[in-house]
Parts: sequence; structure tokens; C-alpha cells
Amino acid sequence: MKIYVFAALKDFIPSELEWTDVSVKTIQDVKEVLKTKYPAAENLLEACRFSSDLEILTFDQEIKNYENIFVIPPSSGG
Amino acid sequence: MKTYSLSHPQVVVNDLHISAVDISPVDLLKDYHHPEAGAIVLFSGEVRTDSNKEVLYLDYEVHTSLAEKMIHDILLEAAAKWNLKMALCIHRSGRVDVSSAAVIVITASRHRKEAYEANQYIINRVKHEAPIWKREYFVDGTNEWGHNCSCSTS
Repeated sequence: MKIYVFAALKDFIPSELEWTDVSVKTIQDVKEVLKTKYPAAENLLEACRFSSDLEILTFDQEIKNYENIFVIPPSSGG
Repeated sequence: MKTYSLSHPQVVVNDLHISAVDISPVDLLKDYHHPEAGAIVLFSGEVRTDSNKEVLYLDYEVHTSLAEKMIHDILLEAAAKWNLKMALCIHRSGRVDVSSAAVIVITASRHRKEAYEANQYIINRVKHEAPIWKREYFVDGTNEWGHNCSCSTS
């Protein structure tokens, strides 16, 4: 599974991560592991959404169905 | 940029919503017309500087596959809600200089009320929901991630 992070998250977390940890089962697990590994990003992670290539994912969704997970900070487009 | 097509039987919705190259409001207005639309509303969001700290340019990062789908869905939803004849949106990625367009929304309907309302609805949702982030580069050599939209993302 690959994790991609964007924008200000890259100040704390590498932009691309590859995980093989089988204990990570849901999007919520991904979020918790990221918070533990990168405590400086905790506040920002709390405000983030998670997505696949094409859709926003809820926290209870199982990640086994997705090859790529994207961590999306609050938008600042326009 | 120019490979647009009809993607919905009743409404013209453009197919490419993220552009790595300049976008031109004038060209878009010239290219798109609908015989049943009497009102065309165009919003162009241009990069501006700030009196406190002079901006050189913005650099937009985009989660492209998701942004394309989200913007397309927003356009189709708005088109259905306001009975639009055209709904177009293009947002830049990469470097955009001051006074250049970062995002353009065009709406067209039979009468102006629907086109105005739908245009504002579309730009609000694109700004608040689409996975797009600006990094501001200043004349003094510093840079920072842009502030998040002040509105709710819900």
C-alpha cells in the first residue's frame, strides 16, 4: 500500500510512503499510525480527509481494497 | 485543453478541469456557446498580491485524479439543480503569476438568475472541497502554504 501526502503535511511527513504492515486495516488505523510516527503533524492530521484515487474514504473503510491512499489537508484552492 | 466534448445529454460540461498551462477567460468565452443560453456568467479567480507582503507567484499542488472527478460531479450537480445549459470549470496547477487566472467558472442558462447563483455555488464548492493547495512565493524570497478556506468543508 502506498500513502501519499500533500501540501503542508509534507513539512512533517515524506510525500510518499510504502507500508506493508498488516495490522493497519482501516483508514482510521492509517491516521493513528501517522499520528504516532509523525507527532508534529498530529493537529493537521486531525483536519485531514483521506481518499483513494477517485473518492473520499470514510474512517471505517478497509484499506485492503485500495492500492493508493491519499491524505488530504484542508483545501486552499482558488 | 481544447479537447472538450458533450459529457451529459442536456448540458455542456467540460472534461478537463485541471490545467498545467495558462487558462484564458477570453478563449473560453469564445469557444463555448449554447443556442438555448441567454445568460453567460464568467468568474475568473486571479492571483493577487498583498499590500503587506508582495506576492511573486503562487504554486498550486493538486490531487489530480480526485480533483477532476470532484469538480466534474460539482458541475453536473449544479447543472441539474439550476437547469444550466453549460457548466465549465478549469483550475490551474503549478506556477501562476500575479494577475493570471488560477480558476475559471462559466455558467450558462436561459436567464441570468440561475447562471449567477450556480456560478457562485460552483466556485464556493471547488474552493472548499477540491483537493488543491496553493503555496505563496513572495518577492522577499520567502514562501508559505496558503491559508485554508475560511468556510466549512462540510
